[in-house]
Amino acid sequence: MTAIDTDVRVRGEMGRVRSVPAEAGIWVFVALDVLIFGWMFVLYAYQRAEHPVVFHAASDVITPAFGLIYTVLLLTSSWFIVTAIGSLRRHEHQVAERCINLGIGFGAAFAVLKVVEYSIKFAHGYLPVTNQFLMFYFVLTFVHFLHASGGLIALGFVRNQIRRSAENGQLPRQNVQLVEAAGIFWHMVDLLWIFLFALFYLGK
Amino acid sequence: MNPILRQRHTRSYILALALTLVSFWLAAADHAAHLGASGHMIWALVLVIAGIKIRLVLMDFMELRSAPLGLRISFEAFLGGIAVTLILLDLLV
Repeated sequence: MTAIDTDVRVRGEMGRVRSVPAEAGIWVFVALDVLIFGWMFVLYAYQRAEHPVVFHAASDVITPAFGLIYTVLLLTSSWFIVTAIGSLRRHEHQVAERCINLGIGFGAAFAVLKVVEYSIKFAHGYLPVTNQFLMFYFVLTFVHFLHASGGLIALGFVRNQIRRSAENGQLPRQNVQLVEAAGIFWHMVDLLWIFLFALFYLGK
Repeated sequence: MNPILRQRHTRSYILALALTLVSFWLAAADHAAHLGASGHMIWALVLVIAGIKIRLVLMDFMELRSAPLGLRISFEAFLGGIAVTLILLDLLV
């Protein structure tokens, strides 16, 4: 992996050493993405506060248990991704490969369950145009679903690099940064979901 | 104990899971309402817990804990700002 940064991260001796995780570009992307989602959250909260009775009634179609399962799936997936990348840094390739597979598995389970939930709602006639609450719900969770889908593709790249490292040893520096950036993107998917769970599944 | 289980990100994961279950128990299972909490209080509680969980992800999954302070504080400040804004909107609008 990279020179000083990874070495100190592996030994856990950060001390006074502070470095940007992965590279700056992914943080610019994450910042812009959370800004956009943050604005949408504010819009939703404003509309919900303006029309509390309507939103409360409309939100009865949401099943909180789905949200709980999604949150557990994504948190667990993120844990596996952190462990996979940490293991890769220490050249523990077998652990890294097992963890990336499980991380992708839990993430894929989230995506599949999301499709199931959407299908159930559509079957009951609940559509984005049904009311304002469902418009916010479907738009925000679908955009998040697209992020998750892209994230799974990025994790596929991470899996590929773990295998490459196991076969060839040292990865090129650029590939190392891409692996770490993919991890950060996936954790962003996780953190966005935490807010979505709170807003649509708990705070209704 | 397996060294992976002793690492900080594992402790954060377990804490985030526990907070998830607590917020579900309080809000979705209506226990907070049965305990006398108003809708405003439940909304605020849910958002505070979400904020704590997101901070755990930022610090220990995304490794902002060891990032340059400007980057770290920017994200923490934005997180706090969003949570406070959402709580205030519920109270004031």
